[in-house]
Amino acid sequence: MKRPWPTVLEAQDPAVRLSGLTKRFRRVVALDAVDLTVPTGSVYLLAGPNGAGKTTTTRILLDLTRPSAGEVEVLGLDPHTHGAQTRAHVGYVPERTDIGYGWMRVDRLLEHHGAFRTGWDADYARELTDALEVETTRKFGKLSKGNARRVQLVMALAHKPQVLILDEPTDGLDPLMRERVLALLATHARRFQSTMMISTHLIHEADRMATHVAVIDRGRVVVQTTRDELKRSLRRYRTAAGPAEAPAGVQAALVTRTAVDEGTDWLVWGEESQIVSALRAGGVEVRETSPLTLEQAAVGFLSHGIRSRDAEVSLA
Amino acid sequence: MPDATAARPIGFGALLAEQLRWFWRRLRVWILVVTVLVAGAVSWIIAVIPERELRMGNLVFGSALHPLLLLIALSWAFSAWRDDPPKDRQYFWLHPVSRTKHTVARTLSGALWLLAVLALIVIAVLGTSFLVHGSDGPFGTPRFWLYVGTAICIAYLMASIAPVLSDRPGMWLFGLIAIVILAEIVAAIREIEWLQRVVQVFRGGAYSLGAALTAPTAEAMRLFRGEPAAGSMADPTMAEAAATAEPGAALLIWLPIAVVLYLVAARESRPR
Repeated sequence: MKRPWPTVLEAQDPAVRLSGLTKRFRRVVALDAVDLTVPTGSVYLLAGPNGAGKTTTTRILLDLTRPSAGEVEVLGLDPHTHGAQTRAHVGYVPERTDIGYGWMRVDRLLEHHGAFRTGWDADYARELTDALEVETTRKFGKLSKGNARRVQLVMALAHKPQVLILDEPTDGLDPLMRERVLALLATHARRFQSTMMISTHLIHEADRMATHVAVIDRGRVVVQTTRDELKRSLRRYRTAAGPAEAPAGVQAALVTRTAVDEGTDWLVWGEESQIVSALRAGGVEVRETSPLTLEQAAVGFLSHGIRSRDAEVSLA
Repeated sequence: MPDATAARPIGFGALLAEQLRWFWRRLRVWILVVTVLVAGAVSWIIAVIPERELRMGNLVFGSALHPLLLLIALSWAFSAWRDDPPKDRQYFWLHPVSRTKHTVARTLSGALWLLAVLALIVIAVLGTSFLVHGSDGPFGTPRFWLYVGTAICIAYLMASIAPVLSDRPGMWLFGLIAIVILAEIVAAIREIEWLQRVVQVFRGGAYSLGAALTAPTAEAMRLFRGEPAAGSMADPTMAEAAATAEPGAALLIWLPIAVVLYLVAARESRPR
């Protein structure tokens, strides 16, 4: 069944473009013909559960993993053939904090990191270490996960790269520091017009920043769109208990349907007035409609993916 | 499109300078300890040797100092990559420089530090000899020091291949040495001629890797000729190899081989 929600984005001169990206680890397909387009200047949220293929995607962008098939472009460059040039324009926070330089003091690690980057701004690095309360005289290996993550954020931001790839950037941070980091990232993106690709399963954190969203599950893109379109087109329709089958007019656009105390919640993609009419035409009384948060939307699409897989399994 | 002027990869000179700084930060204690202990010990030996037996000093280098420097070269090669095994080399590979050049720069910086330590030892040896005996005696032979420098560079480069490519460098390096020794034993017992010829490429042959690595010993023996020599050496195999070796030629053959093998390894060192 052809679904109405978009899985492909169009953009002129995107900062990142993945086309037909496939990655197999022996028999396991981690990414299955993934098409992603990250528009220049956007804050792009790559959401999905653990094991969805988010980290594999970010590693491919930095040529830390080679794809089995497909094309990759970062700022128009192939990260494999133009690796050094590509990485010069990218700031990266990896998923892991143990980078193997635990014996180095943080200030020396930052100095070492900056020596490789012509755009490194020592003053801005100091500004960031102050803002994030980084303990610069301690050895990196002696830091807690949260403190190490703050150092990695300074390392990713201080050369003011055009593209930021952040893999679970708030992992290990306490709630207060999370807020501070998110505010700092938003300020950084505005100040330096950076394109930001945030890969996370903590979707609510990126809700206020994200301009574009992609949800991937088991290596496939479930949905990819702008945040505005997602907010506008995906809504919850609370109805009285409905029929067993969805009305014909909403079948293709139905993301999920959940029974609640007072009736049924329908998550449906499309123009609100048309959906309401289609539900009413099917004999379903719509009591209320409401927009969704990014997290609710992503969870809805992921639930849809699980249901679809279950249906495929039962058909097989 | 990226603005090429805003951020571009640094040049090899800057890369090497950063790796020299990194190496110093990582191994400065080891560098200082080796320099002070080795230079101090050798200077002390030279100071206490009577002048007429000064030539004995060559034997000291041949039988004790040179193997010690080879061991230091091996440990240096492994230490340079201790925190960066291939499976965890992500941070090293994330820098905006050619990964092959970066690998080469790290290894080259180690070689330069090794040669710097050797230079300090040479200065200590010659200085002590001048101060105590009024001349550089046999220690002023440039060829001997050239052989020492080249031999430890070959050992360092060959040993660096293992940690550059493998998460278990010790297993590979000592495994290969064990295989060569085992092959030598099997070839001798079963009188397998082709295997003996293969083994001779690495050990025993006049132009073998063994001959290259023991070139300073052979040179020390040449300088020491006429004195009770080979039998007193710490390692009889080394003495035997040194006696039949063509040290200069072996070094000339094995240095480029080591460089090429290392460069191939550096090129192959990449994320998997």
